Amino acid sequence: MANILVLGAKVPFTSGGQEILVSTLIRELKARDHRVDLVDLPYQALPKEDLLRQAAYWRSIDFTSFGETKVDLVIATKFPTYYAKHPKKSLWLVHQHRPAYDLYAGRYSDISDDPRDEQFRQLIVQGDNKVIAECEYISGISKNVIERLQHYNQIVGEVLYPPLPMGNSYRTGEFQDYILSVGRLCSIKRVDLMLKAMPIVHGHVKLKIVGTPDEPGIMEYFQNEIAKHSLQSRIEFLGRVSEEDLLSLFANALGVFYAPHNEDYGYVTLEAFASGKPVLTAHDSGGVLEFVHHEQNGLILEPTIDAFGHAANRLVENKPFAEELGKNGKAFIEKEFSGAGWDRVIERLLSPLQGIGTERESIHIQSSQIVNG
Amino acid sequence: MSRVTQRKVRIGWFSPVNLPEKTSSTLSAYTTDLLLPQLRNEFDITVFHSGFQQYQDYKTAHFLSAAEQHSRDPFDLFFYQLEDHPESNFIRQYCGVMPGAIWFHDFLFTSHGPEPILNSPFEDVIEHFNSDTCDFRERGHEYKERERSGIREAGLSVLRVFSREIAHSECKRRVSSSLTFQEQENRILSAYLPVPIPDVSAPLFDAEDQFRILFCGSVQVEHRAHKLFQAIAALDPSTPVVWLCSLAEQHAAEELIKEYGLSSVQLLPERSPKKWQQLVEERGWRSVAAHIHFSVYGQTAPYLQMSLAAGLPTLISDFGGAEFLPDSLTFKIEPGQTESSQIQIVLEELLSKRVHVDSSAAADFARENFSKEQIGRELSFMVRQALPVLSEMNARWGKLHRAARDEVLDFALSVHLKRAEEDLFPQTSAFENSATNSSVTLASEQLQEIFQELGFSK
Repeated sequence: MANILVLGAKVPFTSGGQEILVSTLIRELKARDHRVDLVDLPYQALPKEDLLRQAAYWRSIDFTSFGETKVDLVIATKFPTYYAKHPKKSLWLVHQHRPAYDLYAGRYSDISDDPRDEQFRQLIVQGDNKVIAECEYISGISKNVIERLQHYNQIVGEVLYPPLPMGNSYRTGEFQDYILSVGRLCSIKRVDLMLKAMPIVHGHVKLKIVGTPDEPGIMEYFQNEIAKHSLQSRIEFLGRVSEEDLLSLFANALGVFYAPHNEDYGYVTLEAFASGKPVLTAHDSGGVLEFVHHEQNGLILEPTIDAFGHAANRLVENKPFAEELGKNGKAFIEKEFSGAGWDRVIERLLSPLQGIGTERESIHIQSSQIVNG
Repeated sequence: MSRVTQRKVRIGWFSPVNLPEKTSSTLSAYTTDLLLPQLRNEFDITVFHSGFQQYQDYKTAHFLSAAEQHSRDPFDLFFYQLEDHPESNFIRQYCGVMPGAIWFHDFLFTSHGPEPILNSPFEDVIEHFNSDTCDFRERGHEYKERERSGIREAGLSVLRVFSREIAHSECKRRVSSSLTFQEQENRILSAYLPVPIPDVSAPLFDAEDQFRILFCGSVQVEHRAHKLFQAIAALDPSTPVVWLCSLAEQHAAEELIKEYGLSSVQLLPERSPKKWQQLVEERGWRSVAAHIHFSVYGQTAPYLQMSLAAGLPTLISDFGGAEFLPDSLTFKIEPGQTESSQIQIVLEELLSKRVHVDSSAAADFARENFSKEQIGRELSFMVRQALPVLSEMNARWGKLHRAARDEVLDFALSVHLKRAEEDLFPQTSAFENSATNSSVTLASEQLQEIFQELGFSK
C-alpha cells in the first residue's frame, strides 16, 4: 500500500475527459488498497504569462509529505501538473500546452508573432523539457500524445491507453434515428461540423449533444446556426447527463459523431465501440484514428459539412451497414481492451516504487502495442 | 602549412516540402526540389518544415525547433518562401518571429493568414526594432484591420524577392514600415526573381501531326476555362484538348466540359509541374498552350515558363505581368467581351498554319530567364549581398527578444505580487505594512528562485 497523490489541473465549472481519467484512476488505485488523494488546482489559460506562474506554483509546493504522511509517489497528468517536484514522479500525460506545440500557427492557438509570445513559447518548451525528463516513469494516454512528446521535446514515453470509464456497463440497444455527440462544447471539438450538416441529413434524424460549453460565445454561435436553418426541433442540447443516461444514449444511437481537431485520445470513440456503434470522424482527428478504421468500425471523412451530412445519411439509409460497423467496433473493444486493463496501467504508473525508474532510459514508443489490452 | 576551411554560410530554409508519402501542391515545394541541389554546394542548409519527416538527405527539422537551434549554433540567414496556400500558413506566421529573407510567390493573399497573426503587432515591433527608446505596447491592444497583402511580412524582412514583377511593384507601393539599419539607409534589398524551371526539351513534331490544346488552369473563373472552351466550341468542338487539373476539381471540370459540348477533352486529374513538363515535351503533336489567367491572385508559374521553354505557341492574358513578356513570344489576349473571339482567331490561325511561331526564340528566352541554374546563381548573389545587413539584424533582433523575455517574466512576477499585495495583505498600520512588505518580498524572491531553477531567467 502506497501513499499516492494524483495531480490534476481543472478549469472550474467545466468537465471533460481529464476529470474522468483522474477520477477513475483514483477509484482504481483505492480499489487496490492504496491511499490516494487528488490535488486539483484551478487552471486559467489567460493571461498567457500567468501560465508560467502557475507552473512555478506547482513547483513551489513540497509534495514529499503532508503533516506526518509521507507521499510515496505523485502521478502527474496534464500541463502544468508535471512541474510538481517529487523524487518519485510518474507522468501519465494527457496533454501539454498545445498552443505552443501542435496547435501553433493555427486557429486554436493564441500565440502570435509578438516577440513576447515567442519568448513565452520558448519558456514553456524549455520548462517542459526539464520537468518531464525528471519523471521516473513517462507515459501518455495515446500514441498521438507520445509522438508529440518525442517530436517536440525529444522525450520518449510509453503509450498507456486509459480503460473505459464505465468498464463493462456499456450495452448495445436499438439503432434509433439520432446521431450522438459527446464532449465539451468548444471550437476544437468541432460539434458545429455535424450541427451544420443536419440540413443535409434526412429530416427525421436528430442530433443529440451531451456536454457543456466552456468557451465564450459558443452557444450563441450554435443557436445562430440552428435558427438559420430552422433546426430547433432536431437539435437537442442535453448538457451534463447521469452515467445511466449516457449509457442509454450510446446504446440507442444510430452513430456517434466525434471529429475534434487532432484529439489527444478520445474516450468517446471507445465508448461508442463498447456500445456497438459506429463513429463518424475526420482524417485530422488525431488520437481517434488510432482506433477508427474507415468502413470497418466507422467512417473517416473530410472535415466538411457535406462529408458529414452524407455520411450520416449513409447510416440512416443503410442500418445493416451501421450495425455491421458497430459490431466491428464492439469486437475491437473485446479484443484489445479487455483483459489486463487497469492492472497493467497501475502497474506501470507505480513502477517507480519498485525502483525501476531506470527503465525509462530504455522505454521506446510501442506504437503497435496497446498496453492496457 | 595548414589549409583554412572557410565556413559555409548557414541558411535555415523554410518551405513546405515534397515527401515520398505526401507531395505538396505548393510552388515552394517545387522550387525547393529544384534549387537546393545547386545551393547546397555553396551553403550549409537546414530545411525547416511543418512536419517531422526527413526531407531527402538534407538536415531537416520542424520549424519550431529553429529558435533553439539558432541559439546553439546561429544561422546566418532564415530564408522563407511565401505563397497564398494553407500549407504556407506556418511560414506566414513564423517569418515575423525570426525575420530573414522572403521569396514572395504571392504578395496579395486571399486570406489574412493564420488566426494568431490577425492582430499582429508588427508595426510596433518594427518601431521597437528601429528605435531603442520604444517600449512594447500594452497587451490587449486591437489593431485596425489590415489589407490582405504581404505588407507585414515584407516589413519584417531584410531581403525581399518576388517571383512576379508586378508583386515587386505592389510591395514598393504599399510597404511603408520596414526594419531599418543604422549604417545605411535603404539597406533592404528587393528584387524580382522568377520561378525556375528544369531543362525542358522542345518536342519534335511534323507539320502533319495533329493539333491540340494544352490547358492546366483551374475551373475557377479567373483561369478562363469557360472562355477557352467557348472559343473551341465555336471553332470545332472536336478539337483535341488536354486539361491537366487538380484531383479535387475533377468533377467540376467534367461538368464544364459537358456544358460546352466538347468531345475530345482528355482530363488528367493530376496537376503538377512534372506532369505538365511531360505534356509539353510529348512528341507527335502540334501543341498550343493556353495560360490565360486573369486575376491579381495567383500566377501561372512554372507552367507558362515550361511552355515557353518547349517553344510552344502560347496564349496568355494581356494583364498584370504580361507586360514583362515580349509581345513576339506569346499571343496576348485582352480580357473582356471579345476574349473568346480573340482566342478563337488565334487558334484558327495556328491550326491553319497561317501563323509561324519562332519556337526557338521563346525557348532561348525561357532558358536565359528561368533556368534553374540561372535562378540559383541569382539567388545566391542576392543572399550574399544581404549578409552584411544580416549580422546587424541578428544582433538587434536578439536584443529585442531579450527585452521581450524580460517583460514576460516581469509580468508573470508582477501578477503574483499584485495579488499578494492587494488581495491577501490589505494595508493597515505601518507595522503591518512592514511585515506585509517583507512577506511579499520573500514570496517574490521565492518565485524568482523557482523561475531560475526552471530556466526561466532573463
